[in-house]
Amino acid sequence: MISGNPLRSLGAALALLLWAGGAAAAPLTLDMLLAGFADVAAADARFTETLTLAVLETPLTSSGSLRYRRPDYLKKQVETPAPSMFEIAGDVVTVETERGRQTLSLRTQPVIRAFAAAYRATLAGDRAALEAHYRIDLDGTVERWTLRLQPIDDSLRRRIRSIELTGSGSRIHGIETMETSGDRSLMTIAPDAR
Amino acid sequence: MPARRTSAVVAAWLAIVLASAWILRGSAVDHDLTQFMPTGATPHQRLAVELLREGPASRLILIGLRGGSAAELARLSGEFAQGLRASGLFSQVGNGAFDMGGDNALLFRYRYLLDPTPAHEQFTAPALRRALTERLRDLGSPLALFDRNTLASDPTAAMHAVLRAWRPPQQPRVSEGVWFSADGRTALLSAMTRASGFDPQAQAAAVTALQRAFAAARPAAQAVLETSGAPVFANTARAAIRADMQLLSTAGSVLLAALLLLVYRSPRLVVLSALPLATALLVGGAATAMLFGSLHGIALVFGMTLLGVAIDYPLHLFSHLHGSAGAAQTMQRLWPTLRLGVITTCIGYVAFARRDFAGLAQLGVFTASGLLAAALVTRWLLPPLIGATSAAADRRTRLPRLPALPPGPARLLVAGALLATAGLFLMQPPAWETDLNALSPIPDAARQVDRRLRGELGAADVSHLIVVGAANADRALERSEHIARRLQDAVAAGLLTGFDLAARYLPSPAAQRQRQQHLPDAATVQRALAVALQGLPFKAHGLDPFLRDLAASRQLPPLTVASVQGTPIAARIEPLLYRNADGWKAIITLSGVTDARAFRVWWEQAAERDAQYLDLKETSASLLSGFRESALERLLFGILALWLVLSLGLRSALQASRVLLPILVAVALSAALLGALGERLSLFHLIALLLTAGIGIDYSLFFHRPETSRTDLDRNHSAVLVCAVSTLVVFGILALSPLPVLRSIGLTVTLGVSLCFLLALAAARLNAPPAEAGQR
Repeated sequence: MISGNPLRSLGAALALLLWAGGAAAAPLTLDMLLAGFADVAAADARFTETLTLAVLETPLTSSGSLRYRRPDYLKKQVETPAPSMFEIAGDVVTVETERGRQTLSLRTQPVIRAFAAAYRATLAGDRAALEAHYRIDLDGTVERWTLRLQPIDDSLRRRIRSIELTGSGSRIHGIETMETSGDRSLMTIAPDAR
Repeated sequence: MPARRTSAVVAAWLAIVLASAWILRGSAVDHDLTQFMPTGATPHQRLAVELLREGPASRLILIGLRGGSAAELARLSGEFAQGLRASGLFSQVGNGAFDMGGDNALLFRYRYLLDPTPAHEQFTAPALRRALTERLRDLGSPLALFDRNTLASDPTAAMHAVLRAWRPPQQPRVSEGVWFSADGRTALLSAMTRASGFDPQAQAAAVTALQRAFAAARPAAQAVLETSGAPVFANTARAAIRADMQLLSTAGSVLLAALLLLVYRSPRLVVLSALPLATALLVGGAATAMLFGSLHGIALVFGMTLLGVAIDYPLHLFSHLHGSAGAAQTMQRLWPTLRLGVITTCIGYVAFARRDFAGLAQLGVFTASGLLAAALVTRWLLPPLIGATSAAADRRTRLPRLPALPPGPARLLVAGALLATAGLFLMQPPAWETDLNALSPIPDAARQVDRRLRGELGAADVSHLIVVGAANADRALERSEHIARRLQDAVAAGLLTGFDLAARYLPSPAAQRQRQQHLPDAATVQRALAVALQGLPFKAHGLDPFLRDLAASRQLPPLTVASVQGTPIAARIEPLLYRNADGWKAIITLSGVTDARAFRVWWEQAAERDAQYLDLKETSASLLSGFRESALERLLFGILALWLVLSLGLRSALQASRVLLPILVAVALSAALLGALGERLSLFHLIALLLTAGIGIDYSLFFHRPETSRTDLDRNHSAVLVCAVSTLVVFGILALSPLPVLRSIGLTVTLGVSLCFLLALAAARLNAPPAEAGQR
């Protein structure tokens, strides 16, 4: 999933490998993980999302593509079952469905801003921004880590119990969002094959 | 005067001054500009004035944030709006980002009664299926996370429809999630103060809160806060007048003191010259505060202006001090003329006092009581205080000599003035100011900001209103709903672009009950839902909360004005639904009325009972013109009264005419010249002309005073000259003010007093040639 400056990516991967190989017993630290992410300038991937809701008999499944550009651009393009687009560029959130387009500013929406930080601050390797909104637990090794984020703000905590990112190296394989209601969503991410 | 009597006079004066000061200390100064409007003759006009004073127009604040990137301005807009809402001083703060301004649990509970979507469009099987399918799709959006918890109880997103209905009828461009001007450089906000224009202190607090919230929102160094609207104007006017008056009156006083020192060469006399005016201000203020309960800021400022004539009283006395004659004796000799001058001036000022025009009534009381106090101080207090210095004063005084005016030039002057007046009036009669805003001392730059922000915010024009009267709040809401339905036709016809009313936020109980009746019963909706859910992944009983809430909605007691107290609904409807002496009024604000006449035609055809269309701008203009007509009428009666009093005082109708005519010509010529200078005559000019007439009649009386000797005559003329120069100094400075109000007063008085002086002198010269001056 990693593209952009190949030398840089290679450097990051090498660094992680060296850590892994040279000191197999040494645990992965948050700074190491975030430094790896910080080196990623751009990423494109495919996703499949499964929503498990109490009201629904069967989970809802959707799929599409994801795009990241350093430092603060994120886009989620849903292709099936119905097309829709969700994008954060800087502070501007754009939502586009077949019913129209809507923009709002993250600066006026602190809850959404805090929510978005889970992805944006992680990908940008911005530890301070991440810690401003979440309590962070990191488990595992470089090859297989789990980053567990629990919201600090009340307004976000009322909705979300935790966001769990799993991956290896500077690649995210999955994001699981647990809601306080018991509903949850699981997004699995694979490198863009196209 | 015996010492005992002197101390009695001083003691009485002290007592009055102290009592006045005590009364003034405890009284409030209010600044409501509409007090300086007539309350209106017809119920229609009275309602318009009431709305100007207390309605949405008196509460709306327009805000622009400039300087910085769009993203930074959007952040600032968000934090600033939050600060304003947190202050609790605003019933509504809009910046484009949706915010209910409080807890929405009540709205959620009542969503099926508040949602304007008709029930038959919501609860049929196809409608439910459409809504549910849409909702399922929306779940893919990360934002759906934030209202997923209501999926089971509100699967059709009725709450969204309620919130959508809360958005302003017209919005500026939204970018970065907040309102922006068309050029994208100014973030826009609007706020309604909780306090009406009737509570200026509370509004001033709200205006201060704007500054505080701005500072607290961590603005970038280049960020600028622009504010406008009636509450801001009232505040600015107050501050501007205060600051400018302070500066100008200080400058004026210093120059005046220097001038008097130069003439009388006695610091003591200069100090004494201030006594009558100071007493006049205290007594006038106290009398007004006692009679009216409060003192209007404008009455205070104008009153102080009009009382300026009181500085002349001691000057006449000082100028006439000479030789062996004591101050008391001199005063006695001058008193008949001075007394007549005071009485005529009072008549002039009181002629404009009207009971239905609170501001002018205050002004009348303020000036009349003040002038009487000044006259009494000059008559009884000054002579004993001057006492022994009298002779010394005479020796030191350097009165300017007024060169003799030969009859030829005098005749020329009078004829020229008459011709000029007639010519100017025929060529271009002075125009009247018809815009109430022109009365406010707001600088042009501020008005430009107002026009710009109003234009950008679009919906913010609150001068076109429909007011619906009813016996109770429920009925007022119901009637306004009915009119709103008819207004849709007018919107379709392009007569207006939108409207807002309290019933949009709180439908009448009747409308809520009607919606309740249209809500399907449990069996019907269950059947429809069963059909709608076929093939959708919902659990069999997954939507039971929805069915429960719908059933409960059929039993809810409708929301009323009383039951929404303290909720966001109450804040929204506050400026649009209120109670007055006649009952309840619901206000429908109209936006985008470009052709008021065409709208009026439509409205009259609509023929709605108990509802009136008000064009506040037009009404205030007609109020002003009505005031003007009655002012002119009063002017005529005032002149007649003056002439009668002068005839009695001078014991000669002819002499009275001789005194009065030059002043009338001078005032008329001043008005004509102002018109020629491009000034549009307003209340301020009228007041300034009134002052001019009061001062002028004094001059004319003194010029026409038969003096026993040539020296006395010279002294007399010199005394008037000193008075005139001192007035010109003070008002000449006022004419330099950048504030339109102060400048027009200064200009008018400077012009008028010069003309009064010249014409009164010329007339006196023609009426009593120097050869006969010695005769009595």
